[in-house]
Amino acid sequence: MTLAVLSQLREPQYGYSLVQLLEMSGITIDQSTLYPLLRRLEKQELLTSSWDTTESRPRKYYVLSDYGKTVFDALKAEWEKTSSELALLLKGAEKDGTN
Amino acid sequence: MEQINLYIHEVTRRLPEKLRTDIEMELQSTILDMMPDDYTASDVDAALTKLGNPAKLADQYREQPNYLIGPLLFDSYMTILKMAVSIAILVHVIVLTIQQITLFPANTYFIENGIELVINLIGGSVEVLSQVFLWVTIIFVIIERVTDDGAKKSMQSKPWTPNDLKHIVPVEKKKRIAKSEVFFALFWVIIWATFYFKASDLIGIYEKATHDKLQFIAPLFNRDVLLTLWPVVGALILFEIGLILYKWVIGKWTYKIAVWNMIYHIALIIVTILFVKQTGLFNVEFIRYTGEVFNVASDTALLNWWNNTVWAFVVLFIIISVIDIFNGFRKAKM
Repeated sequence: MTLAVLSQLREPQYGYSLVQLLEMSGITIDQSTLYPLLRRLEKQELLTSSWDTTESRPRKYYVLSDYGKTVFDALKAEWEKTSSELALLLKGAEKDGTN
Repeated sequence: MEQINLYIHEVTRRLPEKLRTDIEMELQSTILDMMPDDYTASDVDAALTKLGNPAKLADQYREQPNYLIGPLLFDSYMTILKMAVSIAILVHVIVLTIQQITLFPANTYFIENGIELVINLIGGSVEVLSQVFLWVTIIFVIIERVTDDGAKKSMQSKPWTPNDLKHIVPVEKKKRIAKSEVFFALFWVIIWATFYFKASDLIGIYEKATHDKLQFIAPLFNRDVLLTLWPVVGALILFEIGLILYKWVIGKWTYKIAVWNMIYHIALIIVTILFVKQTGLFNVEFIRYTGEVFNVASDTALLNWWNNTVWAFVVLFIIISVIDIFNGFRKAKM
């Protein structure tokens, strides 16, 4: 979940645009979970936020900080490693099952 | 718009002051984002339903944990709680027992006092338990809230390594000295030590007086003679307490403990014989009274009978000691 959110925040996004982005990729996230999560990530210094008041209504934009980028890359590598290992295992199991 | 503001207020009123304005603004822009520009009441309803129960949303925003003591602290909490409870109960029992014995009023039932002591012990223990539980919990709840995760982790015990196994000495069941055994031994020492110093006021003949009360007629011991040996008895008490604590620390019978146990019993026997051999230890009144009860004819016969009884007790005492010494060695050898 955190990984999904971080992946979409290389470009600044505001709360609802992030929800839409995630939904387009097929990930539904409870909005009552998402907004507090953004706040927590900001507190952990993975994200930085800024208020944009130029538009019709003020919006709070979140974007990955430098530290956040490092953490995201590390998490991504970890995830890819785990999922490829798991995929291999599951493939093996399938083979055993059919034979 | 009215409904939106109400919803936002329902969320923010549950949050700390400093977060409120920011979250208020964020929620407002989010809710408006979720709806078309010319929104209707049903759009508002749909958006708010998506955000869900304001109390739950506020819970998510709140950084404070919604448990009293978190998983990082729970182990230390249980350890400290157990330790505090056992120490508190031990101290409570000792203090109360000494108090009850020394405050033992003359001319009252002995049994009545015993029952009162037991009631006080149980009632007091419950009170002590709840006090300890309350305070330890309060302290940990405060620790949970003022420290960060790093500090909490440092309170946990070090990660386990196979080296830790070296400190654990397997104890066979037969050799083990149970904690309850240690506790009762300690309790027993305190009772007899207190009795010793108060014996002339406590042990003796009681006779039923008026109003179902017991009257203390004749003490068993002469106070002055009894207390002449107090430094020896004091040393013996300290010796025994030391031995009990040593047993507790080691936790099993060893050859060394068996030897110390033997030394203790021998010292105890010597002191007992010293006591009995002292002239005038026993109160003449007491002897006379018992003599009357058992219909002993003359004074010399009475004294003879008394001495025999006392020595019979001493012999019994020695036998019990020998059995205990023997048991100590047997357990150490197993």
